[in-house]
Amino acid sequence: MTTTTTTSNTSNNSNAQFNFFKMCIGRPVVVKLNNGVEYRGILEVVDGNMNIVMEQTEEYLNGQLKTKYGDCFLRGNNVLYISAQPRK
Amino acid sequence: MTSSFNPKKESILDLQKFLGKEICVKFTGGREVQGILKGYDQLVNITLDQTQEFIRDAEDPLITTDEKRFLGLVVCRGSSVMMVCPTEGCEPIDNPY
Repeated sequence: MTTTTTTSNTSNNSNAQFNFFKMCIGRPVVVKLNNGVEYRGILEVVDGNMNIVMEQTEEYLNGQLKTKYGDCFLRGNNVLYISAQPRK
Repeated sequence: MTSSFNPKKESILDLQKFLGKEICVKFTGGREVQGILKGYDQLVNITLDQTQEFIRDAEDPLITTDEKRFLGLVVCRGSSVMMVCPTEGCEPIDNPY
């Protein structure tokens, strides 16, 4: 993935976070929760608490596909990380 | 569903459209329940009716068995809610274990 360089103030963390989420919206992401479960799907919405709405979501438990969901809401306090998938 | 980064405090989850429909809720620690959505608030406190809980496997709390437990009318406290999804469009895979 090509990273675009921004000249924004480096002390503004929310701006960097904002730019990352804008880049990911509408694209496949991997979200890992604190308990180790992974969710893969299309990122629809993220808010300031890192609450997440995803579509076409797949749930992976210990690396194995367990369930598929159409829409899915993840509460932000459980999120460990959000990882963007490489462009196809 | 509108895509956007939403830093405002208004909720990004529109549960209004799921009122009266069956949804599935997972909790921190692995508990999972399914029921008809009756109410909700911005903290993702959720009220479900005709709720049933999927009993967890004794050895691995992240895995649920086929057993169920009928709970009836339930208030789910938002701070423990991990995931919410509509039951329709939910497609369980054959048991991989």
